[in-house]
Amino acid sequence: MTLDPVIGWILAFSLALLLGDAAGHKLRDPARFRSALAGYRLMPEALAAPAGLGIVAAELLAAVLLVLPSRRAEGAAMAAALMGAYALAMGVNLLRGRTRIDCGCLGFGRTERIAWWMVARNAVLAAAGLGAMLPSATRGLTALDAVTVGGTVLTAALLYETLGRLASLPSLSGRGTA
Amino acid sequence: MSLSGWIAIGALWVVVLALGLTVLALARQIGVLHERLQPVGALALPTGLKAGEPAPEIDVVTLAGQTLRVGGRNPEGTDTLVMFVSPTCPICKSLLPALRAIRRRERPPVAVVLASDGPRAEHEAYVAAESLAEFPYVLSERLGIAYGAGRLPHAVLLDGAGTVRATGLVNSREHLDSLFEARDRGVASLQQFLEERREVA
Repeated sequence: MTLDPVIGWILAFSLALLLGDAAGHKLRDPARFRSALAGYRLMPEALAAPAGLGIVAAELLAAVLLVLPSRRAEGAAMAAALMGAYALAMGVNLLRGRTRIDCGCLGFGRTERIAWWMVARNAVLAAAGLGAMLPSATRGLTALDAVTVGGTVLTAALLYETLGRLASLPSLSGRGTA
Repeated sequence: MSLSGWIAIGALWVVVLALGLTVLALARQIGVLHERLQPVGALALPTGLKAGEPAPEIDVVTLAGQTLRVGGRNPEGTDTLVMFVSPTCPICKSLLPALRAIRRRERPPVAVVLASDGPRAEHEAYVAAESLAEFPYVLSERLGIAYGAGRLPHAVLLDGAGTVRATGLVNSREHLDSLFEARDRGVASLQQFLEERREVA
């Protein structure tokens, strides 16, 4: 199975943008990233600092590999693994009943708690990563394809941000119990 | 591709991106509105019980004749809302539907106890008129004093271990809800919550 190159580029650029943004947030506020990571309670406290470095490095590396045509499959596999790992980390804590932790997704202190919709979101992102691993068919790309890729990636980024904001709002229907 | 095709697709992308930006701006505005509409809270009075302290254990008898211990460890581990009301207090009356809703809606369930004092006949008439038979209704001046119910309607939310989780003067449904919100957020009162958030910001 092969992807049309336009679809491949859209997936690769979107994931690269997301991962780059995620790594940027973590680099700008390393202290809060460490505390968010420790908040998940998945590893001994002493490992949080090296694990944090590893995560940021992996995100950056995956973002770079995704936009290099010859290395896209490796970057996509890393992206899928990262998104899957995040979904797992949130799922484990949700099952433990520890919902009141900072998600640490694209910034800190934005969400006061994690929720199942975030696990679902990450599963979709992991699926996008797996999709981007498929080889692209070769066909001559036109200028119109570039417009399609650029427009779709930008629109997807806007929608991602919008949906994230809306989903993080407290419920207005009665007392929010979520 | 023809020029008109290019123009059509270009124009569509411009419009789609503009729409995306507009929706994002609206979502941000909704977030700002949520910030501005800060929760109103039950007024925690300086006198009376403090959140986090164990509530006094007091044995009382309900109007129906059952003995009931208010405070102390609840054998079922459920939270208890002790609501001080009076037949002559109109706000208390307006909160009764909210109390019914709390009894039905809260998960895990919350036991609601109505407390008051004064002549028994008055309260029996009140229970009959407002169909309050579903709530244990106790008359105890001691309870009111021990729980700091100076002004009505006053509410005290206890957890299963008999610790006060939130308390205050409640004048509206929102105030009542704020007690549960304060419990869920682990703060003594919404005032304290807003105070702390202001310090962080």
